[in-house]
This record gives sequence, structure tokens and C-alpha cells, in this order.
Amino acid sequence: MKKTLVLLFAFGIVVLACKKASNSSSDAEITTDEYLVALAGDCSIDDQTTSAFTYQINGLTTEEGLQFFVGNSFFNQNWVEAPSSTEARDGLGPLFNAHSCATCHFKDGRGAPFTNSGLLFRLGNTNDNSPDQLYGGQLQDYGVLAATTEGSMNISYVEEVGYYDDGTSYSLRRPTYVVNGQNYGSLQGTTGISPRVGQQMIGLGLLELIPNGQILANEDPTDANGDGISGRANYAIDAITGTLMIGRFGWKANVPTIGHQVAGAFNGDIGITSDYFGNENHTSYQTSCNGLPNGGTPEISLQNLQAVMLYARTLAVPYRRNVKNTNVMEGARLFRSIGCVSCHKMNFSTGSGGSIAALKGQKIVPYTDLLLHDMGDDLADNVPDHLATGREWRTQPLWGLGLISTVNSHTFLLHDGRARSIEEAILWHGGEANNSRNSFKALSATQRAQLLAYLESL
Amino acid sequence: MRITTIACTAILGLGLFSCKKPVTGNGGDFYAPQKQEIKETYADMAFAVYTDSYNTAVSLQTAINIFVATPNQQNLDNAKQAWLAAREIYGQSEVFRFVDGPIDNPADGPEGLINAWPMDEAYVDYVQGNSSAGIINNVAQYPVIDETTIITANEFGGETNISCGYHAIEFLLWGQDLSSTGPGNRSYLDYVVGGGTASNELRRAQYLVACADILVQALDQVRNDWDPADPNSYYHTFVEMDNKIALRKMFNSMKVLSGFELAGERIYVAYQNADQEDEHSCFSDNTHRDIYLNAKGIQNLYFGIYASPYGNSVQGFSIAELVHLIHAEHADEMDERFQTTMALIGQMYTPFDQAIVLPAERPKVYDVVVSLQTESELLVNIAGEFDIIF
Repeated sequence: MKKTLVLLFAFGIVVLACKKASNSSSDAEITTDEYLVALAGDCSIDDQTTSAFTYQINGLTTEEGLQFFVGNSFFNQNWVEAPSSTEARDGLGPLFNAHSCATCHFKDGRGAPFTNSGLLFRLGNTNDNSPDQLYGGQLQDYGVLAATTEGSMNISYVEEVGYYDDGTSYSLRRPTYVVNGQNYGSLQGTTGISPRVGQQMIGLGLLELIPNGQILANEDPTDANGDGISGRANYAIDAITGTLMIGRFGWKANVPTIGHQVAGAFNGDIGITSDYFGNENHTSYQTSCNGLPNGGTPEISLQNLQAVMLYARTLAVPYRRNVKNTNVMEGARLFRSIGCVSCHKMNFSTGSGGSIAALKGQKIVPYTDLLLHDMGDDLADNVPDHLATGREWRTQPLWGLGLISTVNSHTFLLHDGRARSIEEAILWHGGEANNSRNSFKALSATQRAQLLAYLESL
Repeated sequence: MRITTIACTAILGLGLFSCKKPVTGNGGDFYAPQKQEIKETYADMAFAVYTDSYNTAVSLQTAINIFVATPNQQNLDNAKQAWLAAREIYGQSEVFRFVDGPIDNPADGPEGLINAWPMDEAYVDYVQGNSSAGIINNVAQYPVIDETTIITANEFGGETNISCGYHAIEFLLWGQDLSSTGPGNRSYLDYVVGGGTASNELRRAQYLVACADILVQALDQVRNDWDPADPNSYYHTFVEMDNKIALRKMFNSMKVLSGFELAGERIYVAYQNADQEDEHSCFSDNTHRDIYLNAKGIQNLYFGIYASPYGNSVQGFSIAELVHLIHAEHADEMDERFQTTMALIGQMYTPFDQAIVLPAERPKVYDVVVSLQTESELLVNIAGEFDIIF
């Protein structure tokens, strides 16, 4: 044993002397957009494992780093029924969709269109999105043992064959949504269902810091430039500050801030009350929920809630992969030439707002304009949401797109996860995206594969 | 073995005297033989610690079966002792988590059935303020209590309900900890049919037995995955893995367990909340051991030493030895930090639920957080010496 060490040590000295020769990173110095690896500037991270969405951004202060842990804990650990010994973590329900944020954002990633996996049904009047009288604004498909559950989600699909211009066939699955059970009575006739899956959590703090002007500069509500695309911003009252703000988060840009999103999801999805959403998430008609034990007032302390908000703001965006692959490079060109980039906007910079210094002043490439677009009849949920019509959806950010399959073991995309692949997601695009979708269908098989290779690299 | 190592090292070493660019990958790596040995030490240690973990879980299962057959104070105390003994081993195994290995790979890793937290007490049994809570007391919805019932319930409504594993057993043995000075104080009469302290005694016993059975099966699976006697086991997958990928896994586990899971999730979160029961083993007041054993596990991996009380000890070539060869300064700093961490953990007030509440004791808890974070940073620096960048 001793001998081995001595011998090795002798060789080690030699190695030490020439150790610094190589430097691992190779792509970071390329800064043109197509080759850009770090889509979120200093808030990007080099990881392509199943944990790719779970890292904190670089540059947090020690205190912020510790609060990130606290937020992570309250995001990932289950909430339990009250009363419980773990008083900081009790108050689940009485009605709920999930035990924790991570149920639907598993590994800070994306939900899938199955029960227990991150899909929920919003319920709203098809004229004005007012909540259902009996069930409220969302179907909670679970409850604590003493509460009657509301019902369950029923999803069925019909396959529909279509053809590329070159004659190649594809098949899309068209969903139908029904609420089974309806244990508190029938849904109102005017109540529509808006199915929505949980989105990946990366880069959200950066999207929140894009100055209003940069978002509004891309608006074209009357399509004055005649390109068939008429993006417009949604506006909603922020539950944290009580002010009317541009909507940035949620499938219809119906939520203006991460704070609002986090507190709203705790309440609507898990049944946790907070300083901003003080009432349990059931209606007065749901009498089996009345008088059950709660986890305190509020159920999540402001300090812990703010830690989860910080956590949701500071998850890093993974580096792109394979940027210099020739197919990926050609795909990048096609992404521009068929007009995807008209809505999946690339270049923004974050402002100086908020309290987290590491998020400020970053050049970012999120591939979204955060605006609402008419996506056609096929994708319409026919339920308005603030200014969004029943046909409008917010442009989805595409950073991290190619890692969803790694992190979450699936590629179910779009607001309800109906698309089983990136290719299917493109083919579902309609409305303002008709031209781009048709251009995609007109591409050769090779070109289609190149575009998909580019999207996979994001 | 050692002779071969020396010879191989010598031969490979010659190529490097020309001072070419360091080569990565096993083929031209000067230290490839040492890294191979480190992988073997790691895999041997995993098999040993999971073997001990399995065996202590079987002892716990036996003690539980005896207790529910003859519920009295002595048999309850014996079951509690068996639980504590099992935890002494399992805590040291957690350093094998966080790298998609047998314990927690996304496909079938059973970690969620073994050690999930926080325990959903009111989902399982009565709690203070609700004497009819839980599956045990809900005969209408759960007429039968067996392993299937519990595993199905564990998956109800999301990722997992936490209704089985060590902490469910802990809850069923100790009960809620309603005292500031000692652990939970569940009476053995909870298991005496017609005993009067709580209804559904037989169903409580069935639940406890089923939890023990699930625990034993889950640990059996992990142990078998690390069994070198099975040529298809993960043991061999790991030992044959690319050195750099394997080393990255080791450093990642140590980094995450020290700086993130232990410093952050398990200690700082409890420290900030200062909530008496926001701690892992809250029913038995054994959290101070959880912390010590997790920290010990990190050092086991780093120093290549697992000291088994059951004759399965492992000692082999370690990351520590290789770091001493490559960068002695780093190595000394690391060794000192490990000692500091353990000393600070030893100075924390016991039980932990009071350490986070008593004003005079809280700073010591914070010191442990800082030390574990420093430990994690040093590990990341050392990983950098192996071109492993986090």
C-alpha cells in the first residue's frame, strides 16, 4: 500500500506540471444567435441529465441560496392533511389536484395528460370565464378522506390522419374532455373546460424581468404589417400588488407575476391558503368541505411562500446541445425562413427590476413574445381568460424544449399535452400560425428533420 | 492486485513524460487504474451497506411481528430498538442517492417506499384533534389493509402520498411527538384488541406489518441490484462504467447530499421554520442521528471505508488517496473540513427539535449548515481537478 502511494506520487508530479493544457468548454465563445449555447446568459447551466431543470442560477447571494433550498423543500415535499406534527406542511385540501408542486412539475419539468401527472381542468363560463356555480374555477379531482371529491377527468382521443405535401402521412389525436362523477351536481350548461398541463419551471424569473416595452413592441393587434400575425398582450390584476399588469405566465398569459402564479397554484391546486389567497378552494355548495381541520391561517407562512417564489424565479436554463451539427444549423435557418420566429421571438434583455441581482441585465433567448395569438379552431378551448379569447394562447417559450424527454420521459406538448412530439405540436398550429404550419408541411422530409433537430437542440 | 496496479501505473505513466495534453477517457488516463479501484470500492461499499440495511430491516420486521402477536411494553421497546438500529445503517446509505442508481432511478428506484418524508400522519391513523382520521380508521373505504392497499394509497393523488416507509413505521411505533423533552409516546395498548386507547387495533397492526414487509422487499431489491454475484447486476454496470462518468456520479452524490439535501433541505429549512417537528425523524426524536449518519456516509464514500457492525466492513482505494496524490493541498483542506463538520454536528443540542427552537442553541445548527456548504464547495473544487465541472 505505502509503495503504491510513493510510486504514484512520483508520477503525479509529472502530470501536475502539464495539467492545465486543455479547457473543456468549446462553444461558449460563439455568440451569433443560431450558435448560442447559453440561452439565458449567466443564468444558463451546463447540464443535460434528468436534473437539467433543477439547478439554481449562478450568482445568488448566500441568503438567496439558502432561501432557494427552503423554496425547493416546499415545492417538492408533499403537503399533508391537517392536523399533523409537521405543522409547517399541513393543510392539504380539503380539495386538491396534487400533494405538491412537484407532482405536476416533476423535477421542475413538465406535466403530462394523465391523471396524477400534471393535467388539470379549469372551469369557466364560455362567455366571460366566470366560475362554475357549484365547482368553482377549477376541477379538483382529489380530496382529503373526509371530503367528497368533485369528480374525475375523462380524456378520450380520436386519431385523424393528415398528409405532408410530399404525400407522407401523419396522425394527430383529437381530444375530448368530460368531467366524470360530478359528485356535487351537474356542471352549469355554460361552463366550459380548459385543460392545462404544468409547464417546466426554467427561466421564469428572467421572463418576469423583460421590460414591458420590449413585449409591447411586438404587439400588432390589427395586423398592421399584414403578415397574418396579430399578437397582443393580456392584462390581469396581480394578486400580490393589486395592480393591473401585463400577463406573462400561464397558458393564456393570464397571470402577471411569479408571486401570483405560485400563491394561486398553492391555493387552487393543493388547497393551501396564503396571505394572498386566504380562502379554501371550495364553494359554499360543497358542504362536505366545511368545518374540516385546516393547517392554520394562513396554511403556508409568508416567509415560506416567498422562498418558493424565489425558487420559482431562479431555476436556471440548460445549455443548448449540438449547436454546430450541420442539420441543426440548417434547422435554425428554416426556423426563421418559415416564420416560426415571428412569435417564438428570440432576443430580449432583462431589466433592473426585482430584488435578485443575478437575474438583471441578462441577454436572453426564450423563443416567446409572451403575447396572445389566435391558434385556430383545433386548439381553441372556447373559454376566454381576461383579454384572451377562447381561441387565443400565449406563445410558449421553447428554451429547454429538447430536454423535456430527458427530464420527464415524455414529449407531450401544447396546453393539454395532446401532441405526442414536437412534430405533432407544429402540425396542430393553426390560426395565425397557419402559414408557418403549411410551410412546414411543404418542406422535404430532410428539411423537416433538420427543423426538428434544431428544436431538439434548444 | 496491488502489484498489477503498480505495474500498470508505471507503464501508463511513461507516456506522460512527454508532457502532451492530458488525455481524458480510460484509455490514456494516467490514473485509470486508481479510478477503477475507486469504482470497485464504491460498488463494494454499496453492496455492504445495503446488505446491512436489508438485514436490519428484516430484524425490524421480526420484532414488529413479535410485537403485534404479543403487544406489550417490552415488545414495543424491542421494535423501537430494532428501528433505531436499522436507521444507523440506512442513514449511511443515502450517499448512494441522487445519481439515478438502484435506490432512486426514475424507472423503479424504491426510495419513495423506503424513506419518504414528511409522513402524512392523518392519512394513515388518528392524530391529536382527529381521533377517527386515516386509512386505519376508515373501514368503509379501505375494508382490507395489506401491502396492495398501502402501495395503492401511496400513489393516490400525485407523486406519492407518504404512507409507508421508515417514517410510517416510526409513526406507528412512537406516535406523534407532543412533548418538548422526549419523543412520541404511543401506548402499546393501541395494538391490544379491545385495549381501549384507540379503535381499530387489529387494522393498525396489519398496517404496521405491511409497512415492514414493503420496506424489506424494497431494500431486498436495492441490495440485489448491487450484488456482485449476479453478473447482470448494477454492480457490474457501475464497475465497467466510464471512469469520468462514474466519478462524476460520486462527486454529485456527495455534493448534493452535503450542500443541498443535508445543509439545505434537512437542516436549514428546519432552522428557518423553527417548527418543532419540521425534522426527519420527528416521532422518535432521532433526527440528530440522521444528520450524523448522512454526513458520515459522505465521508465513507470519500475515504473508501465502511465500518459495518455486522461483519461486512469495506476498505479500499479511495478518492481521498487519489486526491492526496494529485493535489495534496486540496486533500488536507478537505480532510480538515470533514473533521470540522463532524465536530460541529456533535456539538448540536439533542434532540434536534429543540436545537432549532432554543435561541441559545440555534447558532450551532447554523454553523453546521455553513460547514456542510463549505464541504460541498470543496468537493466541487476537487471534482474540478478531475475535469468534472458542475
